[in-house]
Amino acid sequence: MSSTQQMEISGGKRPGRFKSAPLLTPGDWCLAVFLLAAGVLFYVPRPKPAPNETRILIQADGVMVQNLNPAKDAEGSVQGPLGVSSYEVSGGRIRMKHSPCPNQTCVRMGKIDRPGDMIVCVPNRVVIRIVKTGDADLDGVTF
Amino acid sequence: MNRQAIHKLALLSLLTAAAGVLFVFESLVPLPLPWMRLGLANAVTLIVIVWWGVKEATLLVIARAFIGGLLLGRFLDPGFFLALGGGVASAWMMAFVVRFFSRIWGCVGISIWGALAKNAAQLSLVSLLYMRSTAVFNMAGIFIILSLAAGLLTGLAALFFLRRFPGSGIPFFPGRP
Repeated sequence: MSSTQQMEISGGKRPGRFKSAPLLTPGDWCLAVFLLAAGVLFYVPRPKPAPNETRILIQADGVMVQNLNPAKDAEGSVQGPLGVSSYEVSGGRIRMKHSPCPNQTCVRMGKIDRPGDMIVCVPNRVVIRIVKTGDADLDGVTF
Repeated sequence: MNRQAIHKLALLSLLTAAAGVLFVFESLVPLPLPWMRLGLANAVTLIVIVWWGVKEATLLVIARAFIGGLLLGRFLDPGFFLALGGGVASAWMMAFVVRFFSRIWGCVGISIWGALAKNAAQLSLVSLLYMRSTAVFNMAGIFIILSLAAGLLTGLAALFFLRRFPGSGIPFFPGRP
C-alpha cells in the first residue's frame, strides 16, 4: 500500500451515501413539519378530564369495603374483628355512629369532611378516609 | 489482529473519546430546562452507524455513558441510566432508519428519529423506574419540539462530517505500516 493510498473502512452497508446528499431531503422536511404541528397541537387547550372528586373510603380489617359519595346521605355498617361498626353520612360529612370498641375514640372523633381527614378505630380495625380522586399532578420533575 | 482491525479499533476509540467529550461538554452548558440537551454526541453515533453499523454504535453509546458518568460523578445515578437507555434507544432507532429508510430520510431526518427515540425511552424509563406514574407523558409536547430542534442540529453536524468523510478513505490514518 503506497503512502498516498488511504485505508478503506470495512463494513457499512452503503458507505458514502451521504457524500452528495442535500441538507434536507423532502422526507426530512415532511417529518419536521409534521412534528412541529404535532408538538404545537399538544398544547391546544383540551377539555379538562374528570375534575377531582371527593370520596369516602372505608376499610375494615385491612380490606376496602366501602367507597361512598359524600354528597349522598347514607347510613351503614361494616364488620370488624370485634363486631359491627356503624357510620352515618350527612351533609357531606361522615361520623362513626356506634362502635364495639372499648375506648370509643372513633365515635368521639365526631364528623369529618375534608380530604385527608381520617377516623381510625384501632381495636375494631376500621379506617374511614376522605380522599380526592383523579390523576395527581406533579409538583415538579427533576433529572 | 490485522491492520484493518487495528485501524478500525483506533478510529472507533477516537470517536468514542470525541462522543464522551461532547457528552460531558454539553452537560456543562447551562440551559433553561434541566432535561434540555442538544445531544451533539448523537452525531457521533450516527457517523459510526453509517461507517460501520449498529453493533459498533451500541458499543460506543454504552462506553459514552460510562465515560460521561464517571467524568461527571454521576455514575450509576438516575441520570446515568437515562443516558444509557436513551443512547441505546437512539442508536438502534437511527440504525433502523439508516438500514431501511435512508432513501426517504437524510441525516437530519435520521437524527430527528433518533432524538425522538431517545426522549421516548427516557420518558418511559422515568415513568417506569423513578416516578411510577404516567404523568410525565404530559410533557411529550415539549419533548417533540426539543427532539426536532436537537435532531436538526445534530443531523446537520453529522451530515457535514459525512460529506467530508463519507466512510471510505478516512484520511486520519494514512495506510503506512
